[in-house]
Parts: sequence; C-alpha cells; structure tokens
Amino acid sequence: MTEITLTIDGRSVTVEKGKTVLEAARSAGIEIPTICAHEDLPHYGSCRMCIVNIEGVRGYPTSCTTPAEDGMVVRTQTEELRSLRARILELMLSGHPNSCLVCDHREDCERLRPKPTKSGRATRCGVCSNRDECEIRGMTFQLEPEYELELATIYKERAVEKYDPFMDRDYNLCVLCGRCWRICEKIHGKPAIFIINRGKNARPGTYFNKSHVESGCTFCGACVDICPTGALSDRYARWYGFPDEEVKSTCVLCAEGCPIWTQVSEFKTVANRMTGFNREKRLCAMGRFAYAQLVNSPDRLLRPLVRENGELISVDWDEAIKRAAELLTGCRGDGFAVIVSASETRETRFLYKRLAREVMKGHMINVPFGGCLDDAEPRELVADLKSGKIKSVICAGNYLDPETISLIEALVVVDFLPSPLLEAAHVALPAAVLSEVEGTFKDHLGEIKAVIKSSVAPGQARGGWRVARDLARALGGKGFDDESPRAVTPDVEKDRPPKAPKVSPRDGLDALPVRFRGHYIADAVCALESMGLPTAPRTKADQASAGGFLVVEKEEPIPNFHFLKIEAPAVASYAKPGQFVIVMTRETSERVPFTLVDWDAGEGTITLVVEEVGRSSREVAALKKGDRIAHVTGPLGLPFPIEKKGTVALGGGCYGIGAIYPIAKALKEAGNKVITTLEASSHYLLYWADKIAAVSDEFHVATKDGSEGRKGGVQEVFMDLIERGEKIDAFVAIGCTFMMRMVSEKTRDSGVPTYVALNPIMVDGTGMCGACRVSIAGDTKFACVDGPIFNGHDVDWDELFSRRGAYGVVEIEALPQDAKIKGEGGHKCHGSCSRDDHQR
Amino acid sequence: MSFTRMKEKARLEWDDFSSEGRPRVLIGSATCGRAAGALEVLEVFRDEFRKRGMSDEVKIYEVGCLGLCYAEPLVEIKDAKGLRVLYRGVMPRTVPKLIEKHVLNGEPHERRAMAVMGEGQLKDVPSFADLPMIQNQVRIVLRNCGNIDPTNVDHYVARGGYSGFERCLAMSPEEVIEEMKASGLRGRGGAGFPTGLKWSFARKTKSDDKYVVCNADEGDPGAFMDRSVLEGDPHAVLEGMLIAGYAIGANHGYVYCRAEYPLAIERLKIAISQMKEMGVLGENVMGSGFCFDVKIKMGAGAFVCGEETSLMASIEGQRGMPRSKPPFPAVSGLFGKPTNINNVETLAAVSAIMEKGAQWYAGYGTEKSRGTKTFALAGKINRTGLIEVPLGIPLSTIIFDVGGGILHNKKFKAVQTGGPSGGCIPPEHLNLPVDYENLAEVGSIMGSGGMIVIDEDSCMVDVAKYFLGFTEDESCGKCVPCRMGTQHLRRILTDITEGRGHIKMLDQMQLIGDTMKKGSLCGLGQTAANPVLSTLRYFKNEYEAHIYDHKCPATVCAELFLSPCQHACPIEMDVPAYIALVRAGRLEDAYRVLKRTNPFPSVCGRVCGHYCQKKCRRAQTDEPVAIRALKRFITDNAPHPRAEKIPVTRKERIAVIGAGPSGLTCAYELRRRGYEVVVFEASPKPGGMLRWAIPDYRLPPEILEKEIQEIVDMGVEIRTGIKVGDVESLEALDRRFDHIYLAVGAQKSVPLMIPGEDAGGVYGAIEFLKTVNAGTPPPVGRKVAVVGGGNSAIDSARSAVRLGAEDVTLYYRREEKEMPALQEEIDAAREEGVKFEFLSSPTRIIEAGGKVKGLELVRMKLGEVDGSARKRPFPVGGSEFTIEADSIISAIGQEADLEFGPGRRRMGVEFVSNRIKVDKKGRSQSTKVWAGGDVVTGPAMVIDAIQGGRDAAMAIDESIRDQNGEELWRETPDGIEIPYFEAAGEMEMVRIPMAPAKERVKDFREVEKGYSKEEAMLEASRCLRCDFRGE
Repeated sequence: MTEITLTIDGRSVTVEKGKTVLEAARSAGIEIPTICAHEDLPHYGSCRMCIVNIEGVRGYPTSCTTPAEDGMVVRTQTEELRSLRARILELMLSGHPNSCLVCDHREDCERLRPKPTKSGRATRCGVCSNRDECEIRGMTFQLEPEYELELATIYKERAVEKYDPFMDRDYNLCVLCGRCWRICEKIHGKPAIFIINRGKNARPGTYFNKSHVESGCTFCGACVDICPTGALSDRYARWYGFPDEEVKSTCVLCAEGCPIWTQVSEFKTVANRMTGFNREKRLCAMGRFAYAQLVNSPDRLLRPLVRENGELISVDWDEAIKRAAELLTGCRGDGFAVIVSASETRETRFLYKRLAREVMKGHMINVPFGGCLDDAEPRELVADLKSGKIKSVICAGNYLDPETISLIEALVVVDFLPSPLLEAAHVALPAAVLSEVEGTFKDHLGEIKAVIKSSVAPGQARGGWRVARDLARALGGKGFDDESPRAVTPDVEKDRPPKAPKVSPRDGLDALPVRFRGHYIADAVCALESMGLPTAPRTKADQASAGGFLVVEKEEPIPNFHFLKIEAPAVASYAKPGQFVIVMTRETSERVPFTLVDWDAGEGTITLVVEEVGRSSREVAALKKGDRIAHVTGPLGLPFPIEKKGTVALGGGCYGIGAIYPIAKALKEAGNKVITTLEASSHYLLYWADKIAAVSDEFHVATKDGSEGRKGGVQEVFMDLIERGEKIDAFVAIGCTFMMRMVSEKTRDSGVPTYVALNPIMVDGTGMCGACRVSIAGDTKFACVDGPIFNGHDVDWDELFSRRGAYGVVEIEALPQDAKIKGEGGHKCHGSCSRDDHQR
Repeated sequence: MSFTRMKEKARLEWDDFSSEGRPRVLIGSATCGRAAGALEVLEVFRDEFRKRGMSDEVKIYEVGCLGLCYAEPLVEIKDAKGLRVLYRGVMPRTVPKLIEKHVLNGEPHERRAMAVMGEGQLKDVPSFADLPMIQNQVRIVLRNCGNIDPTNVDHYVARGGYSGFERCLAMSPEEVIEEMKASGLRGRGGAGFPTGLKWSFARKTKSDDKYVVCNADEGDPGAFMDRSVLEGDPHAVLEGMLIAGYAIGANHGYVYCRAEYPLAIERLKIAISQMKEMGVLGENVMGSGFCFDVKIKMGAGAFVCGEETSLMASIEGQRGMPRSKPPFPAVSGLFGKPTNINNVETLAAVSAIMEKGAQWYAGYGTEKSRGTKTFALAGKINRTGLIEVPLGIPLSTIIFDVGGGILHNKKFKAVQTGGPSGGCIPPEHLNLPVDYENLAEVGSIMGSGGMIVIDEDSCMVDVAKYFLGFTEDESCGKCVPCRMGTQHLRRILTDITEGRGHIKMLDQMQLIGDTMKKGSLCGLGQTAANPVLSTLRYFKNEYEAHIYDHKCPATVCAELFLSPCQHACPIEMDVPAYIALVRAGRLEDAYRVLKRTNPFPSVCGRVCGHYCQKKCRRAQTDEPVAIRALKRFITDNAPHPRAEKIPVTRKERIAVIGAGPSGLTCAYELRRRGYEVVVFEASPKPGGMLRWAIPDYRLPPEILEKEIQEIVDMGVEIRTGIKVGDVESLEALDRRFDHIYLAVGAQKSVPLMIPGEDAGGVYGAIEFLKTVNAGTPPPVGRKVAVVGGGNSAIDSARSAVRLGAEDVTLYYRREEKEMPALQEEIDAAREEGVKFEFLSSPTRIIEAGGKVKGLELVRMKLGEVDGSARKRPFPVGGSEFTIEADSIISAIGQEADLEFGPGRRRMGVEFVSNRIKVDKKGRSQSTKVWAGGDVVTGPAMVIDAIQGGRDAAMAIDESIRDQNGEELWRETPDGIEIPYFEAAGEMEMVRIPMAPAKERVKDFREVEKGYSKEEAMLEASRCLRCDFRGE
C-alpha cells in the first residue's frame, strides 16, 4: 500500500493511493458538499457540487472523481467555488420542487402541520415523502444559497409511478444523481434500472419502460434506501417518517438468515433495510418490504382462545395454558406431535422438542422454510399424522389440511394469523413472530446469528419459546425454568443447519419463500400477489355497483388535483356556498367529505376538487368520465351567510382554492368589495385564477416559493392589505388546517372576523357520530352540522390537530399496496391493505 | 500482397480509368448528390448507353462529393479526346443531350458546363482550379473525394494511397509520432489537441490490448465533412487508423459511425474487406509483425456520443453518457484499455501527412494552427458545400469568395461556427483569420467545422433559441449545469421571443451560461451556452428590442406580431387591414385605417422605402404583395374627408422646429391628443425634404400640399420663413413652450473634399434638387457626372436627364449590389439612360476658368470587410482616369444644418458627429427638448422620419401625463370591421404601371401611375392575411 500526501486547504493530508480528492478531504475532516457521491458507490460526478481548484489543473474538477495525487495542492473553499456551487445548487433545486426549502413558514409548518400526504406526490406546500431524510435539504441549509439566478422551478409533470409493488416513484423530485441505478448495478451486476431518455426527459427507468416486476428488479430496496431525495420511497414505511431506532437483527424467513437493520417507529417494525450497500448484504423482497407488513398484519391473532360449547372464546393466558394442558395431558405417547416451523428461533424449537419428547413422550415434526406439511420431516411422522395415527397435536402454524384436521382429537394451535385450523382447535394461542421475538438462528452455512426483539407484539401475543415453556410446565415438565430465551440458548443442543435454498430468494422473485408458518405470505402482503406469489383460494367479493352518480367530467389540470363534475341534480338544486357533500366511491368505501366548489342547478351537476392524499381520495381520483359513484350525500353543513358586509377578503390554498369560488361569487353578487388571494406552494399548482379573478374586485396570487405573485401565503397578502389601510370587514380562508390556523393567528390582532372551513375527520355528516367534534370558543360543536365554517379565532386548533391525526396509523395501513390497482376499476385488494374491506 | 504488387495492380487499373480515347462518366453520388437526384441521373445514363449499345465502351463511375453541393447533381464527362468537363445541375432529361453532344460528338454542352477538369481548355468555361469556390481551397483531406471511385481501392492506391503506411512501417513507432508532432496536426474533431502528443500518451501506457477509435459520430446540424470523406475516400481514413495503430501499438480499431450514414457504412465495409484482401489488415500486416483489425460500430444518433467518453461507453454497449476524466482514454479507455480517439478528418490528414511528409503539411496554415480545415458551408450563402482551406484564412474570404456571399444579396448578419455549441460571429470580426485560438477569442469554437451563415432575415434571439432547443434535447441529462442550464436558457429565450422578456433575464442568462461553462461535466455542457453568450455579446440590441419594444427586428418571432408587414413598418401601419378593405371595395374605411398612424399616406404611397414589402410572407411563394402601390391606390381613389379642427384640451404648448415629415407627424400626433402645437419652418413652404429633395416626377407637390393642409386644418399652426436662431432664438421658444421637438433634418450635402470642388458646375445633390424643385434649376450642360450611390444620387441623375443632359453617368465606389438606393429607382434610372460606373471614386475636379471641365477618378478595389459586412473599397494606385463633365453632382451624403443659435448649448442639447444625441424615447439631455428624424438618425427614409415624429409625440405626451399622474391617452377605436378573404393562388405581383421611359424623360410629370381598380383588386387578392388567426 502506497501512501501519498497532498495539501488541501493548506493542510497536509496523507491517504492511500487510489483515493479520490473527496475521500482525502473527508479523511481530514474537510467537508465538501455533494449529492451524487456516496461512499459505497463508484465515482460518478453528476451533481457537480464537489468541484474544487487544483493547482495546475484547468477548470473546476470534481473532487469525487479526481484521484488524489502526491503533491497535489487543492483548494475547496475559494470565493469563486462558493459562488459557483451556489449557482449549481440553484440549478439543481430549480428541477426539484423546493418550496419546503424557501417557504417563509417553514419552521411553523414543521412544528404544526399534520402527517405528510400519502399520495406519493409532493404537491402540497412542499410536503415531500422524504422530508426527514432529504439530503438536498441538508445540503441546502448548510450552504445557504443566495438565489442569484432567481430561477423558477421547472416542474416535470411526470406521473407518479405507484403501480409497482412496495415502491412509489415520483421522478418529479429526482435530481439524477444516479445513485439508484449505480447501487442496482453494484449489487445485481446487470441493473434493472438505468437512466433513460435524454436531456430534460432523462430520468431513471427500466428498459422499454417495463414494470419493475418484469424488469428483473428483485425489490431489494437498495435504490430506495440510497436515494437522497423523496423520489424513491417505500410506500409503506415512509409515512412513519424517520425511524425512532434501528435494530440489527436477522431475517428468519428463509435459511439464508440475512442480516437486517430493523427500523422501528413507535414500537412498530416499519421496514428492514440492508446492513450495507454491497452484494453480500442485499435483501430479498420479503426481507426488505414484506416483513414489516407481515408483522403488522391487521389480521393478527391477539388473544388466547378456548373452545366452549363449540365456540372459541377469549380467555387469559393462564386459563388458556391450563385448558391446553388438560386437553393434552392424556395424550402422551406416540399419538402426540408438535409441528414447528424452521423459522422459529432455535430456542423455541429446542423447548418444543423437549416438550414433545421429554414431557409428552411423543414426536416433533419440523416444517422447513416456506414449506407446508408435505415438506415436513420426518416423513414417517407426516404419514402417521395423515393416517390418523397421531391424534393430538400442538401446531405452531397453519400446517393441517381439512382432512387431517378431521382425524385429530386434541388440537392446540399456536399461530399469529387466523387459519382454517381454528375451526377445529380446542385451544388457540396468539404467537409473536419475527421482530417480536428474541433468540438465535442458524443459517444454512451453520452460522449462529442473533434474532433481536425490536417491536412489541400486538395484543397478548407471546413468543413461541414462552408458549412451549409454559405448556411444558403445565404438563408437569421439569427444568423449564428459564425466564428468557437468552437463558435457554446455552442449553440448545447441537442442531443441524437448515438446507440451503436452491436459488437465493435474493436473486429472483421466483425463489422467494411463499409461506411463513404455513400461511401464504401473499395473503397478508397483497403486493406479493402481483409478483406472482400464490395465495389461498378465496371467493371474489362483488364490487360492481350499477347505480349511483355519473361522473360527467374528470380532469387533472394540475398535478394531483382532480376535478370531477358529477351528475347530482338534487344536490345541485339545493347547494349553497360553503356547503359540502359526502362521497362514497363504492359501497364499501369510506365516507369522505368534499366541499362543493361549483354547481349548476340547470344542468344538475356539481363540481368537486379532490387532492389525492390517501386511500379514499385515491379511489375518487381513480374515477374516469362515465364511471359511477355509489353515493353522494348533500348538500351538508351550514351555508356561509351571504350578506352585504362591505369589503370581504378571501384566501384559498391548494384544494381550498376551488372552495372559495362560490363564496366569492355570491359575496360579489351581494354587493361586497371582494378581494381574493390564491395560494399554492409553486406556480404549477395554481388553478382557476381567471375564474376567480372574474368574480373579484381585486385579485392576488401568493406562492410559497415566490415563483408567481407574492412570495408567501394568504396571510402575507392579508397583512399587505391591512398595511395599505384597506378596511376589511370579513376574511374567509379555506385550505389545509395548517394554513387556516396560521391565517387565523395572523388576523387575530387586526380584529377582522376570520372564517375558516374546518376539516376534521367526519363520518356520517349529519351530526350523529360525533367524529367531527371541534371546540369553538370552549363549546363543543360538530363541524358537519354546526359548520363547517367557524370563526378561526375561536377554534381550539391544538385539539383539531390532534383529532385529525387520530387514525394516522390506520390511514397508512389502508393504503393500497397492490400493484394491480391501475388507477381504474376500483380497488381489488384482498389483503391487509384495508381494514374496511374485511369483516372484523 | 507486397506493396510493390499492390501499386503495380493499382497503376494498371488507374491507367484503364484515365486512359485517353475512352469516354467515361463520373457521377457525384455521395449523399448530397443523391439528395439532388444523382441516382436518377445515373440510371438515365445507364439506359441511354444501353440503348445505344455503348455500355461496354463507356464506363460510369459513382464518385464522392467535390464539395460543390449547391451545384449537384454534378457529372464529369470525359470524351474520346480526353477533354473532361464538369456539368452542374444535371437533370435526367438533360442526359440524352449531354450524351449526344459531348460523348458522341465531342462537343461539350457549354451552357451546362461548370468547369474543365484537368488539362484542356474550353471557351468561357473556367478550369476547375479557377472556379471561385475552388480558388482559395487546398484539398488535402478531400484530395480524392469526387475524383476516384471510392469502392475501388486501386484508385486510392494509384493516387498515393497506402504509401504513407508503407513509409510508416519502415519507421519506428516513436519516429511516426515525431513525424506527426512535426506536422503540427491538431485534432479536427474540434478541440484541436495536438495529434502527435495525443498518440504519445497512448503509446506510453503499457497494455496487451490497445484501441484506435475513429470518431465518425458527426452530429452537428449542418455539418457533413466526415460523411463526405467516408463516402468519397474511406481508405484515407482507414489508412490513418492503421498508422495511428502502428504508432501507439494498438491492435484493435473501431469506427464509430452514426447509423444515419448508411452509405458511409457501406463504403467502409467494402474498404475494410479490401484491406483484408490486400493484407494491410489482420495478423502480421505485410510481414511487419504488426497486427490490427477494424470493426464498425453504429451509433444511434445521440449528439453527446461525439464526446469521447460517451462514445466509448456507447461502443461498450452502455448508455452514451460522458464520464469524468481522469482517467484519460490514453490510460484507461475502451473496455478499460488504453485508447486513442481521432476524428475522421484528422485520420484522413494523417495518411496524407505520412505520404507527403510533415514539412509539406506544416507549410500550410499558421504558426499555431498548421494545415487545412474542412468546413461545411450552409445557411444563407450562395455556394453551399464542403470546402477545405488553409487555416488562417480570413472568415470573409470563406464567406464572400469561396462561398460567393449572401443569398439574394441580403445583408450578412453573423456566421455560426462549430455547430450547435458554437458562437455567432458578427460582421466586425469577419476579417478574423480562422484558427482555433481566434475563434475561441471571439466566443465561438472551431468545432467540427460547421459554418452556418445568417443574414438579416434571421433573428439572433431565435437563432440562439434554436440551438438551445437542440442542446436541451441532446444533453445526456447526467450533470446538473447542462441538464438544467439548457432548459432554463431555452425557456428564457422562449419567453423573450414570445414577448414575456424582462431585462434582468439577460444577466440571468449570462450567469447560467457561465455556470454551465465552468460547471458542466463534458464539452457539450461546457459549450452549450455559447450561442446565447455570443449573441448576448454581439447582438444585445436585438434582445433589448424584443424585451423593451416587443419588436423582433428581423420579423421572425411570430408571437410578437400578427403580420410581418405591420411589424416591419416603423409606424406599424395595419397593412392586412387596408388591403382587405381594398378587396372589399371599402376605400373610405381603408383610408381611415391609413390615417390611424400615418398623416402622410399619399406621400408614402409613392416614395416609401416599404420595409413591409421586404418582409412580406407572400414572397416565399412567389413575390411580395405590392403594398406601397395598394396604399397609393387607396389615397388616389378614396374620398379624403375634410379634417375637423380639434379643440385644444390641454394646457401644455409644444413647439416643433422643422416642417418636414418628422416635425409635421409629431405636430399631428400631439394635436390629436389636444395639445396646442406651433411648427416653425425656415423655408417659405412646409414639407421639408419631401418638398425640396424629392423630385416632382416621384412626388407631385400638390399631393404633399393636400396632406399638409389636412394637418393645418386640424389646428396645427405652421409659421414658415422663421429660422430658429436667426428670427427666433431657441431660448425664447424655451420660455414660451413646455416642450420643443427638433426635427430640422439633414439638409446639407456632404462635400467631396477633393481639389476643385469650388468650381462652377459642382453641386451638392440636395442643393441641386432644391433648385430643381423650386423651378430654378441651374444649367447642367451636356455631360453630367453624379457621384454617390444613394437615392439622392439617383434623384439627381434622373433630374439631370430631365433637364436635358445627354450623358448622365453615376460613379459609385462600390458595386451595384451595395448601392443604398432602392432597386426600383436604380432600374428606372437605367431605363432613362443613366449610365453607371462602379468601383470608381473621384480624386480631383478638372476645371478651367473656374468652371468644371472634367473629373479625375481612381479605380477602386474591394479589400477587407467593414463593420457593415461589405468589402471596403480602396483605391488602386496608378489607375486614375479622367472623364469630361459639364457639371458634377456630389451625392455622397447629407448632414444637419445646425445653426440655431448659441442657446442650444445652454439648453444642454448634445451633438455627436453632427447629430443630436437623444435617449431611446427621443429626449435630449434637456428634459424639455426632444429630437427626431434625420437630425438624429442621419439621412434615412421618409417613413423613418415619420416614425421619429410619431414616437416623440407619444413620448412627450406620456411624459406630461406621467408627471401629472394622469392615465395614458388611448385612441378611441374607430370600429372598422376588417373582412377576411382567402388569398389567391400562385400569381406574380401586378406590375405597377409606369410612363414609358422615352416619354417621361421629357418633363417632371409623375412617372409611376396608380393601379386601376381591377389591378388593385387583383393585387389585393394576393395578400395571405398572415394576421388572421381564425375565428
């Protein structure tokens, strides 16, 4: 190894030959900004931020690509470099929605705004799927650019790619650092993605625009994890934000036992990621993406159950163990077996084995990874089971077919999901799995690895080791005294390593394990179905609905904002400004309120503006012209009182822009001086400017990034009006909760009554359920019947914010994960994507 | 095969090819020839010979491109006597006649003959070497193109081919590299890196495998030199690769050629197989131990793949995307091996250099840039084609001598060199000796040698936008400055061309361009901003016109106007509207439309310089619409409603000095806005130059008087005979008026400044015309010499004819195409018998007894190009000649007569070379003194003077209202509905009736007659209605 010495910013730095100038600088603690360079990736040099001056070298070489040489004299911080970097950064930001960086309300927003939207598209106030991990953000705040170029953002108008499993790809946010395809190439040799197209159309993509399932992508998630922006994201995990902690553990879904970093938020496992950006550390789609959804399945067994009078009823653990012991105590001998999965920890299997052999004098059947009873060993015992020789069973998984079940006389099920076994089980015990248990794991090479518990099991689910121990004790077993799996570990007998999979699941979707504890994984993680993984047979729910309300027109004039004109003559004939409707896209859909932004009683139509933010708005957004909506209920709520007040200022933000239109129009007709302001995070998100200007005496535009009109928001325009001495008699603001809160706080001092349209969670819209409860000047009101418009100065905003966030986790879990949903034909998922779709 | 045998075989073949007594036909059938129809011509030749049973006797060869692309299809016929004649523009139907005359009868078809090739002479047909396009050329790279059959290796060998390689094998690789260094050859791909030095780097790197890559990814729009060489002489390039391979120790070669060049690829394939057959390719070449193979790799047409690292990535099967250097290709290139990349042209020069020696090659060019360079001449130039000239040759020689100047005698505006990432070079740099450093100095690049000539009809902002659109699409998208910078530049340029420009955008573009230059990864990004930066540097005024005035001076940016004619008109007369009204027979409305912006429509119907007609879109189909004549038709035939007196509604009073077109227009516009206006005129009658300098046969005085009367009728007071300075001091006016508009014109002829000018019979043109118009002409005598080339010169000459002179000759120091006078005036003068002597300039007036006897002149020669892109004439010593003359009229220019008292200084009016200095709005240093017309612009057209007056009136009004905080004045719409008619099909302009020349020279009666109603309707039907944007 040769060492060389160079001078960087006057300091002498000694590094190994072959290192780049950037690496040399970093080794000396000199920070040079960069986006595309990554320590685990080969040189690239696309972001151009890491330019330096090198004596004797022409121009501005990039330090990330230039090999350090002996005697080199490098300067990284000259005034010229600083200015050039600032301009390059500005160019980069101009191709990346950046209002989150330049908005004057950034700090308030970070403090107050609700969870980011879930649509996969950053369109509202710079809400980005990656805000907690955005490297551009970090670099920008560090460099504090001066924006001397004053460039408007060029929004690329690319549709979000949200129909592949597990990943959302919003290339509007992409800065083409090339990390994604480079890591893909590094890990898989032949990359599934690359930069496609040229010039302004260049972006990462697959060959011939194939879907990722067809492109050879193995869904290892490396691209998602290495992406410095929000362009690539884990559809499931991102909404939990930056994880609270990361725990190094081992994946037990197959015999490979890959090392994982389990990411945990609020004691829930939200994702696994690889422990290093290299080929050895790569994960399969199961380990990377499916794992967390499997653990968090909403169908999990939560409580111990025992059969009473033919019904399974919930009991506590002690009772359940007691009942199991009573059931099994007479079953000792050859007619008894424990069926255990290879994916249990060694400790659990060891204890089950002792229970089976020592305590019950019976047998132990081992089911390999991803397998079913037919794959289990020993073969003779499986035959005994099927022939009815074995009559009593502890089955730690979904391993018995109906025929076998019918031959069994005593059945104790220990599982994490319901299965047909429950129909026959005498006792069913909820099991903790995967990241909920502690222990050790032996991979196919014989290496013993630690499985670390990182999340809390749901309900009363318990780890297998404890179930086995307690059952053994209850059955009179001796020496089952350990209080933790760790205590068991030293006693575990020498065990054979499991068989290696023929093809590593990490190398192809075909090789992925299809079952976990006898359950088809795709049953719980429906995204896998679109990768061709099998599921249990099931009946098709009939989703078709012939009647309903016709969608007359449907367009998406600005990104992510969907305008629907719906045939609803009755609603149209009674509608008044400020009212709303409740929409159910299908018979099984959630009820969601939308403000009436326009209507035509003559034509019998109403118009809604819907921003896609989550499950239900996605369903509405997926509608096409000619589709029918199951239910449209309205008009609901109290209309805004239209009277001559004098001068009325109105402000609309995002989806609220449409909502101010009917109010402004009516106020103008009533003889008021109407001053309207539209607000959006950037110029490309403005709509209806002409339409609203036409019903206004004075018209303003404000954008958070200053790309059109005044930089700032509705409140800044309001303050401008106050400053110039305009006497305002009322102010109406409609937009996101954050915006309405900020506006109300700003107008409080001026004493101008400020009307805001509150948007709490709403269910029936008629005052019955109470979900939309808000506190107005200390009184409890229901937004649906007492509102939705209230004086913003009287609103208990903190309460509203917290109530709106009440179902955050459910909202995330409800997000469709199935690649087959193609934006039309409604939602066909059968799995964990939505609680609403399943009988609970 | 040994070299000796190879050459022997080639000699036999060549003898057969060139033997006398055997007719043969060469057809230029490279892609350029084929595009012009060469293959059809070839078929007809074959058929005709077959029909005549001469197929065996006459051989037909498909040869490459001679570079005279504008004259394609080119056919060279050698007859039985050995006379070789090159024919241009050969069409299938002319072939039988050519065969009949030349091949069969040995009589060259002189009308179609372009040049005589080789030996031999033909009357009135120049030899090839004497062709103006060829004269300045030195064809080294193109040595064989068009002269040999590119599919016949023996032709190549017979002309010295592979002897360079033979010589090379006798030398050590190091010696070959030294030879290359000595030749001074620099990379012809554009960057100009010394070839020998490049080779030495690749030589130094040790490796079992090394590569030589020929870069044939010619992607610049308008560049086709690589294609021509590959199609016309593929062996020249391949031999160059062999030599490079030997020199650096490479064993593999790649030609990276774009798939859009199928013919080049086909010829390369043939050549490679011939090389293998001869044994110059493969294992142990010619027993030398040197091994070399060549493969062709087709590129998919990405511009960035011309960049060497992208090109290598593309060969490797990767995305064509550049990477950072180091490592340089010479260290780690193709497949990670040392690689040397040279351009097609470089390699073709290499084989010539090895054949003829470094010293021979270094004899051409300049100290730092040796040898020759090929250029693809394209754009608005007469002789488009492919040329090869020694480096150091002035740009002007390339454009005006080799290229034959600008198409349709338009004005040169710029030349764009180096492809889409080159810069635009303005007229002031036309004398620049072309080499790498000089081009970079003026903000462009050599590039691969594209040279696109841009004339006055191109808008430089639009040109920059076009190129940025190209680079925006062709940027690979990898690095931020290039990907985002090109998008922003294109977007900003679009904003400017569509009227959304803001002045701060110019700084913005400068900064973006600078960032791209410094920050981009590869050459594409580093140079992509050049078109913007160079046009900003040289044509900022065009940007400013778009931004401030929403004007596209070249009338290109269609978003800024409805119709080009209206946009080109200095006072934006609504041409399509009044033409449509003529068609509708609504002449009264048409007249009102004229009067909207012009108080002198009848005058302009006769003497306007009609900028509108020059931009008329109809000209692209057949001829422009005769807009001026139609205007005249309206004024001749429409009722002129009596002007109503307009009440004075404003307190401000304005004085106008000078009752010429500019002053009266200003008065008219201000009066319409309710101001009280007084016009002071020194002469006894108002009208200025319209009255005094334009002869009656062009503008009858009663026409002018009628229009002036209309201005008086509306309430403008004109006080004649008052010379400000003498009768009325400027200071006094200053006290009595709120604003003063100075429009005193340029009424003094510029003296010739030669001895004898004081002699009797020497007149200044303006002074002469004044006396003619006043009815008191001086005696002109029998022989009259007029000196000058402008409209005054023509007016003087034509007046002299009418005054009875027998011999009127006009002497002009440049050539006819450079005369500033209107073409129709020149033609009319010629019809009336005026003679023209060009390239002659007076040196001395010969007098006797204080009276003119004659004039001594000197012959002029054209030299360097001046700032107006015209060649500057200079006298040829000893070429003086004398002529007899009874009177001499000097019409070389006019200047202002600025004698209005000492007050002017105190008022702060500033003068620059005898013109009043004003700001963009017409305001002088003093806030209340404004100026316009000839006294500001120098002698110009009537319409320019009218514009000056109109603009000043608007600016004065605006400034007053602005100061008072009033809203801007808005004209009440006249509510005239403009009908729409479909344009008539292809049809020439209806000729403007004129009195016969014989008749008209007798007196000063009007020469031009107006259209009849039928003629006017017909002509009006030719208007395309570009302004009409549908319902």
